[in-house]
Amino acid sequence: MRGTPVALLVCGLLTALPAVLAPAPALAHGVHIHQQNGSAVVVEFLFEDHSPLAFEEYEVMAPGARAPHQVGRTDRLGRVVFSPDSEGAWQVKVWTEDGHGGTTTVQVNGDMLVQEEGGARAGQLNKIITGVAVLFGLFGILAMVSKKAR
Amino acid sequence: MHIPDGFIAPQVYGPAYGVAGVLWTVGLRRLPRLLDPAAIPRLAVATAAAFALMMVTFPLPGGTTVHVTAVGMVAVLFGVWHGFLALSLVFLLQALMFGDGGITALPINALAMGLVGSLAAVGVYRAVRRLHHATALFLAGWVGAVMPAVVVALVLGAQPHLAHDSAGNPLFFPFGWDVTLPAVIVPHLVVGIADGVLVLLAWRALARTDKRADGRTDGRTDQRTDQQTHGRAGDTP
Repeated sequence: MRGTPVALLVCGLLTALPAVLAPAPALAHGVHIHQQNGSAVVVEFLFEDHSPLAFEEYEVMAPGARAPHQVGRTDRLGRVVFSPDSEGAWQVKVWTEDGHGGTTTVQVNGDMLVQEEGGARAGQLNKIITGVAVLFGLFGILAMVSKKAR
Repeated sequence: MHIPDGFIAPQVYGPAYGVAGVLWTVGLRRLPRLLDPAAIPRLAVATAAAFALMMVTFPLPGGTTVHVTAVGMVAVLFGVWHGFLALSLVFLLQALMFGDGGITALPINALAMGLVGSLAAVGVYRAVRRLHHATALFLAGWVGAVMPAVVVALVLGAQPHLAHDSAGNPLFFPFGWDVTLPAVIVPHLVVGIADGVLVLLAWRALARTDKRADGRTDGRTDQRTDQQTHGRAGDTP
């Protein structure tokens, strides 16, 4: 029983020894946290019915980069938020496990802001009406051509 | 099920463009022989219906959406070539005008849904129609939705194996077959039911229209026109 405090002391010294002998790696475990306000690019991904692609995987590629600048999952509103550090065309890609998703290019200017805000948000009904009209037009041309050919 | 741009590696969509290009050329060359002018309005309506139905999506549990494919409907009513060409036109329109489905993925979407879906639908319809016609129509619609899903799942799941960097990180679609096969196929087992019902309804609607037309012409039916109009899969509604 008398030896127990001594044994504990020796164990404690041995445990602390690496930190004393190699201070640099020990300090590297410290994390400096710095909060600041800044600008960010927000890209929103929605399904056709305007429900968000929430918590899906995404990848942000900086202009000309081969490795991603940022990866992660979209937020519950289907958004990718990133802070660009260079001017040019940034590529944002989102995908779901069943093959949905999309890729978009974001033009970032020298102020690290999006050059042109907006994007395709055409209503679904408009799309259907336009598409059906174009198809009927194409088939109308086909009917005329085939009648002429005969 | 439309694959967007950026998901498929060039070594996959390049050859796919080659195969689809040959089939588009053959199909368009055969079109004047296959297509009676009298059938064009019906094919136009079916193609427009397929387009519109594909644009109407329904949310599923798990945060994804699905839509009816209408592959079986076009294929069974008009035949494999008509189905392939009409659906390819739909995919081209969706990709160019609305960004639904990618330009690079266009041949894969066309081959998976337009060709494989049409072949499967017409094949099943022909195999089962003598046993029970309504069942054959329903199964044709169902398989016309499920078979393209299998192809799309296989193509997507192959991407990490085919295109990755030196560290093994996927360059295009990142999920393998263990993820894509259940994620793509399982929802389409359900979608296929709606597609099966759609083929049944479309066939009956066409049959009713034909009956009325036959009544107006005092029962005199032009057999040649009937076959060329909507009998490519083997029967007349």
